[in-house]
Amino acid sequence: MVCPKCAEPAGDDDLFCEGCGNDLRVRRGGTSAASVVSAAAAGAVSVAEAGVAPNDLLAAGAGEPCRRCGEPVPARAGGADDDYCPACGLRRPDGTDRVETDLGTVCGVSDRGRAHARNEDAMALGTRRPAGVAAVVCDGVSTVRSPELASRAAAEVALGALLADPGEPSDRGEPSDRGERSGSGVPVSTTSRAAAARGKRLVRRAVAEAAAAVESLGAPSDRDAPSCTLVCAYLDHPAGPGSMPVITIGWVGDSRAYWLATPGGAEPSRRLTTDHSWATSMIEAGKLDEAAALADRRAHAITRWLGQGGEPEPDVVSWRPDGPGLLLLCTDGLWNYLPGAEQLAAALPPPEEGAGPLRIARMLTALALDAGGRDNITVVAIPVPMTADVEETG
Amino acid sequence: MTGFQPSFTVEVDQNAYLHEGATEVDAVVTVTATGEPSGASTDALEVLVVDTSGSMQGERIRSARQATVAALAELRDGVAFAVISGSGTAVQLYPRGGGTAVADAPTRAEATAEVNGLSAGGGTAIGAWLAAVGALARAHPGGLRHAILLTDGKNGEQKRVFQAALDGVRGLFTCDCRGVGTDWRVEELRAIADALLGTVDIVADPTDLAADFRALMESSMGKNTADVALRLWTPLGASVRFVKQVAPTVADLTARRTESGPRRGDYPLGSWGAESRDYHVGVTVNAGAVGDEMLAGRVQLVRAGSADVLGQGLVKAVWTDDTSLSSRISRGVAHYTGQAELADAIQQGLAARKAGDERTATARLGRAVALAHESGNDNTSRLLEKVVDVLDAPSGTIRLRKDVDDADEMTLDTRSTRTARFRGGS
Repeated sequence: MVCPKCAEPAGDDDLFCEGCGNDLRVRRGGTSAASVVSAAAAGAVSVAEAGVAPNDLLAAGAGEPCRRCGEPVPARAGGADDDYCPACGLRRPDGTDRVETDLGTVCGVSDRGRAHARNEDAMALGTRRPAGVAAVVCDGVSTVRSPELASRAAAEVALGALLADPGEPSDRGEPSDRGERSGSGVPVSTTSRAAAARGKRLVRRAVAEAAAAVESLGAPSDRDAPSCTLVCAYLDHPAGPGSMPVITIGWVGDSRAYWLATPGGAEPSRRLTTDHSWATSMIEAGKLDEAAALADRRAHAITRWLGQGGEPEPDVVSWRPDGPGLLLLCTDGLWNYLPGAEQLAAALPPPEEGAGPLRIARMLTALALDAGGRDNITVVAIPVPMTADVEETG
Repeated sequence: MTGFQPSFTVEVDQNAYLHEGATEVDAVVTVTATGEPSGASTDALEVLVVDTSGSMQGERIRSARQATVAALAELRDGVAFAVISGSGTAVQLYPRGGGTAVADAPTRAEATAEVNGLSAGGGTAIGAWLAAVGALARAHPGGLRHAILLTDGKNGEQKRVFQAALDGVRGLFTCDCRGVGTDWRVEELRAIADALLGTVDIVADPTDLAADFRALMESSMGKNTADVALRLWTPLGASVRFVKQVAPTVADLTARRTESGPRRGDYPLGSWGAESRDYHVGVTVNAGAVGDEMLAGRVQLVRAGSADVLGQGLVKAVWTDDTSLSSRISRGVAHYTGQAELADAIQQGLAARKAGDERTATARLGRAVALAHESGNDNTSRLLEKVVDVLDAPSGTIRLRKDVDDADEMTLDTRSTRTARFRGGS
């Protein structure tokens, strides 16, 4: 293999790159690795961590003709206004209109859709050798300024926390937990209860760090400050490769996680999250039935969010599934069209086709686009148990 | 040279969302300059022009002398200055030999002595006075150049002669105009102030002149950036509907444009101290498809005639089929659209009243009362109440008054362009 950051050759078991010191146990990808806006925007997101040189992103698309006026567009200078064609003013694609990330065991698609000018969703996916998988999906609140900065910052920062080196002091795991990992590289004796507790700690910390990053994008009194939702998953293998992982889900707002059972699987399909939205709170309070609540124009107003003035307190669940299935994270650009877990499960290709997670994510995205694509669509798919090839390479 | 660089911020208030097929983009651009007033420049020229025509005799010339002396006292050391006595011709009162003097204690004392000897007699040729200031400004290029012009009467020059003189000095200096008494013409002084990027006001009572001149000079001494321009880039196929200053006063800048590059034009904004002004920019663009986003305008603040960009803001257009987004109107745009209409309603109403068209006057001034009430422009509401009887402010129901004081009517006319400031955001 080679280092994804500096292309220096490295051995398969190397922990760090000899050339640049990059942590080779971690692989990550997603929106920020494709986004020139994140590269140009100050601060909160480090694209370098995703293994991409900002200058490469700024040069991307230079010389290509503008879709509207046909003038060739120059390379970006990194300023606020070079997102636009210098002749006709049309916004230039910033790399995020369609993002596909394939890390083998975890894959995602994020699409601008058919009606929105920008893709304000963001996803960040990653793996950590020997057996940790993490994914974050965020949806920028479209009524505030620059919501894409919030979603990208939140996704990157949360993923960074989820993939943090368990041996680093920033992870306050139990000492025994840490000792076993650093000894053999494979967790052998941690119980799933301890793994669940660790997962919950990790997820809460990831959401807290993401919330702080998004809050830093606006002033405390700023009601127009960037803000977003977040749903994230962390999958841990306390009993080693091939077994069922302990899955921890955390969320703020109305981005969702679903469990979609493999046909005949012991763990039934279901929605794993409960929206922090006006409609849900009305239904839970018994004030409206589901149909009436969802028909209201306030139905999609979220009651928790990351960003100034929001309540970034996540709900967190953790468990080990009894049978195989697919873990799905998505924004409302998908679930508005397919809200039920059974509907989503029925839309999956039959198992004998052997579709991988990238194909599944593409398929579900295409369904939402065909249904109208009214919103940005982001879909992350993680087959459980995780596929073998990933456990070999990372 | 200027001892420091003020910093400019440019903020844009707009609703970028347009419904399908829409082409008109509106934005309010707030430009704010911040900097230490103590660092203000001495690379400056101040010219005081005092009307000494025959009508100024008596209390007016006495008040004009006092006011000019008060203004001289505010001159910062090192500033170049001159005093012009204006009648049928322009006579340089100080320094006697022409040119300018450099302000210090002795020159201020000499100038004061000359001013105290001023007497009134002769005609009024404002174009000639402006030309004299223009000659001094030409000899003093680059820095801040400012004049205060005081008159009490109607200009005696032919319109064509006056207009040629005004066009000849455009861009050479900024000029604040003051009319004393009620025999001068609001439209004449407003034309000068608009062309020379200054203010116009009435000083109905001559005894108030000294305080007014002192304030004007203080404000001028606080300016530290000469010749700033607003540079507007618009995309291919777009046209600029208008560029207006909307706060602190309404002034249409649309016709002031000079091309500065492809699809780019500069609008002169004069000199700046630590202050904030709002501009309303209207652009028409080619409609985009739903989901398209375009840059409809790039607003930059530049040092006139240079490539120095002091600040920048972006005006955008996003086409959507979500009416909950496209139907929102920016509060800033709505507010200043109303304030510009308010100024028009007052000026048209007063013109109709003068022409004896009471129906139009009642309708326009009634509309003005409603707009001033709605926008919380209390100063203008009070001035309107001196000219009309307000029966119901929200609906704009009024009756014209029969006996209106000339000074009240002229004050309303002169100050009709003053807007209530919009405070956007949270």
